[in-house]
Amino acid sequence: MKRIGLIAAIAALVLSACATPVRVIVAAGTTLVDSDILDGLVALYETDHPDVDLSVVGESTAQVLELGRRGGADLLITHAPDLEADFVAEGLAASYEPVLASRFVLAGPAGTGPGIPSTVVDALREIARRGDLFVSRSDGSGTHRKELELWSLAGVDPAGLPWYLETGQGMGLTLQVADQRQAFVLSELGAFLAAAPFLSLEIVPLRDDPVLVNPYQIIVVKGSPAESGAAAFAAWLRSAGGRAAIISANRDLFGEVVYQPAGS
Amino acid sequence: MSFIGDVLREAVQLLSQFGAELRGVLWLTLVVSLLATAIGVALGVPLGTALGLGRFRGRTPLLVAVNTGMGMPPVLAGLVILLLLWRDGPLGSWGILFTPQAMVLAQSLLAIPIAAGVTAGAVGGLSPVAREQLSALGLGKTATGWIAVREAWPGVAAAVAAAFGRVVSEVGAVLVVGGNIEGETRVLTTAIVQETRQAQFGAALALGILLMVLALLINGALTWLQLRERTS
Repeated sequence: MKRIGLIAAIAALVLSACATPVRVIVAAGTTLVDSDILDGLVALYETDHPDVDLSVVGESTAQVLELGRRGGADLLITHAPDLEADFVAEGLAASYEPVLASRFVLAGPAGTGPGIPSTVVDALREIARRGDLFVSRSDGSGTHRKELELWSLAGVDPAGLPWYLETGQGMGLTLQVADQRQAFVLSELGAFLAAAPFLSLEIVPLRDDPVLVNPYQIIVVKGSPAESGAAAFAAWLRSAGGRAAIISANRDLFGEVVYQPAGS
Repeated sequence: MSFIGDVLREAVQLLSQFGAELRGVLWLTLVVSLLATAIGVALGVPLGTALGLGRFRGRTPLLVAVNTGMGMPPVLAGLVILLLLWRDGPLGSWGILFTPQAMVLAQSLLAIPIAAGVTAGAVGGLSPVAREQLSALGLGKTATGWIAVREAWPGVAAAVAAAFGRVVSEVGAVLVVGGNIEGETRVLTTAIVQETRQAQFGAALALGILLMVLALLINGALTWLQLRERTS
């Protein structure tokens, strides 16, 4: 009997510890997790809101949206507008708003800069013509969708070609493979900068092009268990205070603003 | 219920198609796992036999190290091999990171302590009478070891099976040093991770079923060898 009492006491303790804060599951693209930008913002918000526990899951945009569909996440941060449009059209979003914007970069082995033409589409054509190694996420992520869009603009179908390596993994691991195999890779800028100290890859200088802008959108999942907690965090990210926090988190991590706040 | 039903149906349908891509993944899984098991057994069984029979200095710390190694997290083995093989690392000049060779290396690191630990247990468990007879033969160390392995055969076969089970089912090491590159380093476990992440649950389950069938066939063969020796 004594033992049962002890177990009950422990169970009550564990349950009460778990039950107090509202747990909000935030599913975000792996670029935002690999670059550490989201971690800092979440920590700051949790300090000011001890009643909220934000749990961040890093997945490809395709999987983030799938988590939203299956009730596995309360708040989604994604960067594939065409996939997001389907999600919104299915009536699953309580709100859908821009939150951040960064850029895509083409990175490659050091010293390959000259000889590469100046637009991203021309650069990809040149890589394909020379048969240089290229590593693709191939995971249904926002970065992968952008890469496919760029290949199609370049008029190249790389699928199955010997110089085209597909990892099916997140940004961090894909950058490692590109680095060690001396290959080109399309990366989101923040995730690239976070990994850069251990990489010999360099950003290929390209002409500024609107096609390389990388907007992130935030979706509060309608009817999710922590919908109001999710909406509050989303509103904060887009508020004046949230925007200032985003700028300062950028400076701490990169010394420059990589992720522009998009709130109003 | 309908969700799981849908996933199962899709998995069965994918298995019935069994294309060239799936064959490649299955083949690489088999080659990498068997090579790593072979290396693990070739180094681990002699080590385990020495540990099981011997009364030499440093035996106890070595036994502790082996037993700890049996529980080494695969992802840690992967990290160690990654650091060694990184282009700026000590073995960077080999240029084999993110290739099947790196995967075999990382998995061997996992297989050796398992093969050694289980063998040490089996050989150490031989009856005192058998041990006395063995030393009375007055043979050299290698010959004594061979006889001990044959005497303890069912246990040593279990060591082989345990080493194979360890490497064929782990994902942490092969993902870290292999990179899951399609057609080059993608094996069943890393493909399962990828399909699951992309919400292709049917495909993920199909790969999982294939992995279990593979493990069943290999373990069936090992069990047959284990029992055959015992009755002969």
